[in-house]
Amino acid sequence: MGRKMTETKSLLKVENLTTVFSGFKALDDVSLELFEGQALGLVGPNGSGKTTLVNTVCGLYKPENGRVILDGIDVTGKQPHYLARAGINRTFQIPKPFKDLSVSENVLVSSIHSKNKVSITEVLEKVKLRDCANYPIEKLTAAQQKRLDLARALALDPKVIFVDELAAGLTPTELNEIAEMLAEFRRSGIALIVVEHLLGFLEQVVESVFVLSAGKKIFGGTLRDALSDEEVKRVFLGGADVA
Amino acid sequence: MLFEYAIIGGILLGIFYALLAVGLNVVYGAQKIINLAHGDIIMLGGYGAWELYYTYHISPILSTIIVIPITVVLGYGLNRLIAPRLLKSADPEMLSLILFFGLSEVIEALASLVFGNAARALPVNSIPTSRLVLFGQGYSATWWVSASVILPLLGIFLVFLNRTSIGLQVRAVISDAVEAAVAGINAKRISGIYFGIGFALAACAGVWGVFIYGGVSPTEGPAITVTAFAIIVFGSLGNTVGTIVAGVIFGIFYQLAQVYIPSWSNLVPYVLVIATMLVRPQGLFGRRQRIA
Amino acid sequence: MPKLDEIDRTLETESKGKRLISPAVAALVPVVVFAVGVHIYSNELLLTYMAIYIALAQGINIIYGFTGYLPFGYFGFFGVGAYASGLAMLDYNVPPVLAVVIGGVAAALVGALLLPLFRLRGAYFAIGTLAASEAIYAIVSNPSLQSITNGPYGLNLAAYYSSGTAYGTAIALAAIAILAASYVRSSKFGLTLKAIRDDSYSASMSGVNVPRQRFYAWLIAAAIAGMGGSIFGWSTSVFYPQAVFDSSLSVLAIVFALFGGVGTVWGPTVGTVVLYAIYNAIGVSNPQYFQLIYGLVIVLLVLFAPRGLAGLRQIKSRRATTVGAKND
Repeated sequence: MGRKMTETKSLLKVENLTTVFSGFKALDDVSLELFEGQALGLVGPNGSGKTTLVNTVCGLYKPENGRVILDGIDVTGKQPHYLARAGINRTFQIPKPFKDLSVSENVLVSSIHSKNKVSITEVLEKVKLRDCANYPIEKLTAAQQKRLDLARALALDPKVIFVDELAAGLTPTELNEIAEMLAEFRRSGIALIVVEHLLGFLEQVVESVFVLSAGKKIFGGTLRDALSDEEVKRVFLGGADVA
Repeated sequence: MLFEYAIIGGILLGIFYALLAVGLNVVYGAQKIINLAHGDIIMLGGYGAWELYYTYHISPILSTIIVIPITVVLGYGLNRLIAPRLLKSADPEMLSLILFFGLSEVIEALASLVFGNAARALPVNSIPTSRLVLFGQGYSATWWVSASVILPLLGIFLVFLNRTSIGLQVRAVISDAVEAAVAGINAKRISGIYFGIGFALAACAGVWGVFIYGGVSPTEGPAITVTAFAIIVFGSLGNTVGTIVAGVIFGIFYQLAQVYIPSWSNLVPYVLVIATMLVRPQGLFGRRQRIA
Repeated sequence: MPKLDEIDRTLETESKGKRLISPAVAALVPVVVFAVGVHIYSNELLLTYMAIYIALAQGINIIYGFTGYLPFGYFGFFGVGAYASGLAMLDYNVPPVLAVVIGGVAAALVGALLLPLFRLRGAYFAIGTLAASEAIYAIVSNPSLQSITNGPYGLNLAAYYSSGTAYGTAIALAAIAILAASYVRSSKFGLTLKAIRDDSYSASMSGVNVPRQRFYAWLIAAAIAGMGGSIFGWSTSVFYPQAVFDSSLSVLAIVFALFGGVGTVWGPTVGTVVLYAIYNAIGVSNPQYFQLIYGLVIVLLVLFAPRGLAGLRQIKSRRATTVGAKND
């Protein structure tokens, strides 16, 4: 874990985050910290609170308790668009491009509000969509739509990107391509939180993981240690989806 | 005394409003179609009762039953005609809203061409005329007769929905059309039938609307649609029992307004619908869902 | 693949020439046609109403075409404008043209008041605005308020009647509405609106302040309807509340816009001119036949051409581009 090299800057700090849905604690006192260029895998069985964590940090749900600190600034409970402009971004499990806009216009929407203007060509270049710039959305493959989600995040000059179930439905070649892109993002200082079921892909892009079960953190450490951890095993074998 | 009169009168009237609204909820049913022509179907039911009375001397009480098979078939046919195209479009909910809005205009235009613009009424003695006396207060015959025809009708509908095989299939399709199809249910046919039943309930309400509103005219549709929509939103969209209860509560509100602030009573449905949508969008009996 | 290297530049500036010329043409052509038209077809009041309807259809275009929110209660702003401007003239002797602006501002203020309705979506929003406008109508026309609004008896503006000026103002309003729609269509503001229409959460994750952008579009649409109502009241000179709080105003404006094609600049203008001309040819003497026709038009549009006249053209050109792309 990169934590010993304390030179790196803390980008995102989640403190004691709790989210409640009509009495049910979907997220229960979760804390984590993310440093510049770090990639953290977020795993857990279905319903363990992964998506709730992403949605709460991204401002879709208001937390009952706890704080979210982005690059030293408390951003708890801010609106999604404020957070997006401040540097917290995400992709979606099922890509959500703006269907009536072209590929480049999709990216332009993000760049309008970016604090540091980024070149749309460069962004499209980074996700290998430059040749599709003028395409309507329906001409893109599923993998290309996922990369477009990434491009839209990049256009906002993000500090942290939540990558939600990127691997599902992609071919091995496409997976490799995306893994390389994510590595490149990290080299430029962006921190990633990768929500993922596919452990192979996870191994390729993150060094540490964070395991949630029933809204609580049950493990934090390397992926290898996680796989030999008794509680993690129990949770995953109890749930249906060991990858 | 005035207060008791408003409450009891409101309940009697509210039973009519329950029927007025329940058809809209039924059409919404499986395919999430907002029937903006609902009020116009009610209007047609009214003209149906008028024609049946004056041409064939059939009592409105009997007409309530006669209009059912006709409108079920009409509704089923319409559903099979439009649903396939609508449901595969990009935004079925919005498009169906606009489509039924167009349909409402068509029905209104045809009605005024066929029946003329003047309102038509049925004679009071076409139904029993004795007033109902309760706790020393008299209530108009229209109210108690309509309530005593409508209550069993609503009862039969609930039994149909909860105790018959088609009713069970309807409920299965409403909760998940794909799953229901996997279970061997012909979801399209069931949706169509239920849609037709929604039309039939509207037409039945129309028969009694002639008495409650004091007549029927081609342009009455949209205002009735809004009232019915106010009631189903108040009682939770998609919830049949909720709609019926909400209809009765609406009747009481309306009657209280009639008694105490008559010049503002026409505001009741509008205030009710806006207040519900903003304060408790899931309605009285709804589970929390994202509609906003 | 040409142009790719310039994609940033083209997107940011979108060839300035085209950007200025096409809206100017879209607004200027109707102005000239109306200015000349009145010498050929002398029913000035009818042309005034047509210009007002163009503005209303463009207002619907801005709020529905670009944000996906369909306001059945759009007529409420029309009525508010008619009353605000009428009362400004009657009670404070404000000159009519200034009163028209006041009508627009009043409608925008009411629009701001109705903002909570945006918590609703789809059919809920559509019917919510309808209920709100009916409620405003019930209040304005209420006999208890006769001392302020003259209740059910309406307003008499005969003292301010000036047909030529009213006609000119109506043409100006149509032009303003067309310019507003073309601004929305080609600006970044419009781009964010389209993004919101596609997926509002996704748009907010792209940094778009969803409620604020929608609010602006709503205010523009409300102000246009308010000014339209003001000019209607002024040029009609005597009106009852049911004439300006008439839900068929929304109905027609929506039909005109849908018929021509929402989301485009020309669609609502063309749709209004065509259908309103038909309305006057057959609708005045036989309103039921006209109602029947436009009802059927809506049904057929929804089933066969959900994008209106403009959509029929787009399908053709889109087919052409797909073929072109395949040949690449």
